[in-house]
Amino acid sequence: MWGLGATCSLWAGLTERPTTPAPRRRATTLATLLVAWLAGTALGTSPGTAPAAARPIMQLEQAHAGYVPTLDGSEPIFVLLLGSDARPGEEIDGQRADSIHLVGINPEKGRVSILGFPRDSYVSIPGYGMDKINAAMTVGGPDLVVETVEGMTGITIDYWALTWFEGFEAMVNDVDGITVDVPFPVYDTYAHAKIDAGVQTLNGREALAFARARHALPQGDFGRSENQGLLIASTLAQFKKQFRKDPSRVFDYVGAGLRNIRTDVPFDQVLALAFTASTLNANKAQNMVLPGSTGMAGDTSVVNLDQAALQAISADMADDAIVKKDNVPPSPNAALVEDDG
Amino acid sequence: MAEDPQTSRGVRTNRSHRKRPSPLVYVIPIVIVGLGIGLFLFLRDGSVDIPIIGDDRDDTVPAFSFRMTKATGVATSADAEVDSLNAQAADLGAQVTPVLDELYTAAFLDPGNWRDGDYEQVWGFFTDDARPAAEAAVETLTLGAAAGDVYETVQPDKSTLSYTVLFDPDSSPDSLVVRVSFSALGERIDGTYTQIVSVGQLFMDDLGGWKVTAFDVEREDHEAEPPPPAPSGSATPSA
Repeated sequence: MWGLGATCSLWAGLTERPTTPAPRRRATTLATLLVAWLAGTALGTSPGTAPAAARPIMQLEQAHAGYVPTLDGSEPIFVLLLGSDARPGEEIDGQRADSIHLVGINPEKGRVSILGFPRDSYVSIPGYGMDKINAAMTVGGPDLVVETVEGMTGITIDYWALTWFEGFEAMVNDVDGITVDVPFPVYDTYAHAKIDAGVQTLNGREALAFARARHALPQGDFGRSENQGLLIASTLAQFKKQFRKDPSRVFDYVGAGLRNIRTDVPFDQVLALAFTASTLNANKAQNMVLPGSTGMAGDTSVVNLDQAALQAISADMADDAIVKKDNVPPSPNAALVEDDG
Repeated sequence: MAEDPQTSRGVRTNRSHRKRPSPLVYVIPIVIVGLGIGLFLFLRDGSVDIPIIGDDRDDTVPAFSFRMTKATGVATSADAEVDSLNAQAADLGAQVTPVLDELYTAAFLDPGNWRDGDYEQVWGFFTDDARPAAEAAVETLTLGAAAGDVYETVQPDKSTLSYTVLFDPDSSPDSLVVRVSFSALGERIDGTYTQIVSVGQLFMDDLGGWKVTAFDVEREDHEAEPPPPAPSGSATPSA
């Protein structure tokens, strides 16, 4: 285009009457050339060049967008997870609750804490007096266990969920196993457990054996409770990982869970809880067991909980579901982890 | 004008000092001609919409429909019958598919939306909670706010859906997640082509109409070859 403008200007210069002094003619011709060149360059296009407006504003090659609805994060959420000692044919919620874990969730901060209660903890059961905590379910079902834990901790529990041996095994198998970083070998003939240390995927039978093993653990039921908490944290981590790759897996986990537990979580809240779980930081999950010491109550061996630790941990969890570092109790299985390197 | 002293002596004088027209007399017409030629070249490819020149854009909304490939039910009750749930899931998928046809047409195929980058119709398919996130992701979930400056036409390609339906403990459908694979061919204003690809998952609930409650979507657009010329009388390929 600039060429055309220049040509026109040259023609004009050639046809201009030689009536003005030469320097002024040259100046005029140059000015004309310059104006025509600017006009042509600014407006014209050479063949094959796209106008500026047709070039993409944003070249989109790959992009990602995601959103999940989560529960209100202004207050922590507490769920009591119970494992029944019921054998096949027995009433599931009428037997002892031999596995008791309080899970605290802080949706806003994406944090989760898991607090295990030794099954022989000698506590006050509302309406029944002092007894082992696992007896509460035999006389009052899951609701009485909730009341008992609320009385001990001062924490209001939002929901409870109860599974049993067969249900737990089926649940794990329905999600194709749980990948666990087993911190030390677990060999326990009573529990049928023969599990090496290391990262591995436990099927339902293996996971149940790992959860029940205590005879090979130096602190017995304390260590077992910690291993059960490890299974809960590992399941969360696995769910998160799978959800990130394939969000539809949430339905598999929800289905596996609901088919094999009893719970008071309203069905219309289950998916919201699951979506919220997908946002939690599994790597920072706190897995703790209430410390205590063995003793006797009459002829019965019991666990006397460390009340100072109970109060400190409870206060932290009630605040934001996060236990301060100073209040996190020592791991019952620490010696085994050190021995295993 | 003062008489030239030489004229008064009868000698014909050179008229070189007579006042001449300004050089602008020559410059202005040249510039105007240059501008006119430039405008002609600039506008002739139709990239600027000036009614006086004429508008031959096709604003027809192309026909489009997803093909459902699979539907599966997930039970939340131990005694649910899986075969029955799968059959229900397939029925539900057939009901929901037209909703997704409408959503993706609004988002990618309706020139009435993408030429102006106005996707208000699309956001109506999301819940109030999901809508802000959806609107913030306009460049991923739709053809884009500036699509009118990029594309000349967009035609759908083969696109598929598969469903997983979550049933409540009474074996009634509760929520679903649909895996979407959407594809379309966009002809750009510069004559090149883009394969527009949107893949991902949409979670949906029936809230008096099926709405998107959560989503996870990827765009995988890439350069494409021009389509082969259609034989005369053949219909535009549909999904």
